[in-house]
Amino acid sequence: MTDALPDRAEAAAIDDAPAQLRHHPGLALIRSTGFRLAALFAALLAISSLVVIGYIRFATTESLTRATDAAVRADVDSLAERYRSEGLPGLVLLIRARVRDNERIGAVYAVADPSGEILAGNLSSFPPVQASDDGFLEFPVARNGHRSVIRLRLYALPGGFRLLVGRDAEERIELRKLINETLLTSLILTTLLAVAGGWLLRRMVLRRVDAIRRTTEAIVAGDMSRRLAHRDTPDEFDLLAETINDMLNRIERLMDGVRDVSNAIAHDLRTPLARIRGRLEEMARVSAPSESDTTPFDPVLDDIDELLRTFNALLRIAEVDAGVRRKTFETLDLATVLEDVVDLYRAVAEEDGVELTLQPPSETRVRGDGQLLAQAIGNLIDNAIKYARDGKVVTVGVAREGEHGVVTVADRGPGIPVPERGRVTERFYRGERSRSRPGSGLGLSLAAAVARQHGGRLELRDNEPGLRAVLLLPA
Amino acid sequence: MRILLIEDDKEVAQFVRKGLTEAGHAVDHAGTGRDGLFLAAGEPYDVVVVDRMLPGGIDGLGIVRALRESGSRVPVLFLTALADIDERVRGFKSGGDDYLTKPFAFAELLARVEALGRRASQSTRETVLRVGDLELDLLAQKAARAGQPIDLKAREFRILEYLMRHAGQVVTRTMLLEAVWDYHFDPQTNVIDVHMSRLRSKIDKGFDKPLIHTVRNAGYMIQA
Repeated sequence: MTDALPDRAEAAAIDDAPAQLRHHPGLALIRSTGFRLAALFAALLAISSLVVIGYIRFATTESLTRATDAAVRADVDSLAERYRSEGLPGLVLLIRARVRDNERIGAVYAVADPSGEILAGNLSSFPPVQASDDGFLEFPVARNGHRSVIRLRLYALPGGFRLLVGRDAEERIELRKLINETLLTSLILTTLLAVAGGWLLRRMVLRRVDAIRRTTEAIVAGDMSRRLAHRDTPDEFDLLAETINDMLNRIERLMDGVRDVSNAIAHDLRTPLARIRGRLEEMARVSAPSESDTTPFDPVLDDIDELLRTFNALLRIAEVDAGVRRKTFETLDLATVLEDVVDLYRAVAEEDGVELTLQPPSETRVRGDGQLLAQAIGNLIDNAIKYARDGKVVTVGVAREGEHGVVTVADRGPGIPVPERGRVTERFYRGERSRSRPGSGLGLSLAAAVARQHGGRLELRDNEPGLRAVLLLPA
Repeated sequence: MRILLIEDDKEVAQFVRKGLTEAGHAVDHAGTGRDGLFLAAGEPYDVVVVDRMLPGGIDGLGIVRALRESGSRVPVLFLTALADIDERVRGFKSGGDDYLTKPFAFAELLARVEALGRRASQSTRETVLRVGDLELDLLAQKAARAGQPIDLKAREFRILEYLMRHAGQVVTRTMLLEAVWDYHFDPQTNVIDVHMSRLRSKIDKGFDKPLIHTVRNAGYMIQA
């Protein structure tokens, strides 16, 4: 019955395909706004230069053609008038005069008898063309020892005689060719310029966008103090940066507000709580004089201790975040710190049936506060022991990796799903699955705060399975 | 013991004074630094409990510095609202002997005050500590009960040594954490209890009379 359903692996593979496509580098380039902008810029530049040069080509060659045609028409008009008044001999005489006057400007004339014999003009033979209906023709002829194209009109005269009036079009054709070549060259140049310009434009845009992205990423990673750089003479990007900064300031104020309120609550409630605790203690003492007797006050006292513990952890984080302790930094060996902490927690681990293994440590010197580092590492180990119960093994180690002294605490428990990893170091954030476990939910937050204060960071990685908490401290 | 309490917060002063009196100590109270120094310099006290921040021209650090300069070696416990380690360092540098962050459980204060008072009267040169039939040889690093050797790990030895040096007194978990591990923070879990239960099984198992006792809401005590 379930045959029609693809099995899970298949379904996953189907889901994966578009994801792979989405991350294809070529597609990513095309999708990039910078690339699109650059391409658009290049295309616009190419099209506009094409239009401009096309117009120049059209305007120059066309107007030249029109001028030639007008000159030919005027010539024909005056020749026709002479023909009407003086007949063929007058025409021949006038053509000879015209040839004399106008040959140097490229004027071409020819009158031929029905046999094709040239009676007057500056062509050696009459071209083999048919008379058209008042249209211009272009025809290559040999003239004065070289071939050239002539733009001409043909007229049939009575008695089989023919008249040809034209202008040498060679110059115009040369010009058109020149313009065409120029057009092509400039098209190539424009394209190159457009691509280069587009690339520059893309880089410019990308640089600004990247600057914004890098800063916002740093902020997302937890460095709330970062702000976007912007100039005093603002463009759109600077205005955007300013707006984002305003937004960040507001977020930071709100966060500070929440933190201040929770710190104030923790601070102000500690004293009355301690007083309540004292009174309950006294009542317990009165109601059960023997130390071994349990009293109804005992669970209440435990709850109050838990509450005080949470408040203290909260204030400790606030204190670490405020960076008060930096002046107590000294050079110390992480291996020694780790060994002592493991010694403290080993008994608890064994009690919980968890094997706490310390990989052979090597001396790793860092500058820091021994108490804070011990507390941070202790919290990581405590956390690992609490969640490792199914996995039964917690492995800790210390090593120097490049610029960092690195403490690793790895369990093989349920781990933390990727979407939650960024959040578990937030104060009080606890994944759904951990709600039922004891603890204030502040352990990882404190470890992260200590790492930050030491100029390092806490990374939560996948231990496949389990969680691998990595404390990186500048060596 | 005769105890001087220098504390300006009336609530805290009353709470501490009442508790210490009920525990059988004689308590004098001064509300300002000047009055406190005047009393501390004139009367022989076993322990001075002094707030770090005080009105009256001279604060806690100043009082202790003045006392030490005048040659007094009276044990001093600082009370402070600041958990900052710098504060602790400054407190010790000025001549303070112990340090407690407000707010505190009274049991913690009492245990520390009694430990301080005892320290002043006790010789530290002993090389063998004895509680009942339990013997701890500090030179040979050996423990034995009723003549039977007990195998202790290094840390267990130090816990036992601390307990035996304060035999008959309450030792809190925080005191053990500070004395044996030198940790001044909350380890979040009952780590000390687990260490204690292991030590206890080595010391008391198989003997009719237990030596290590749990003091409810306070800590532990070793007593014959």
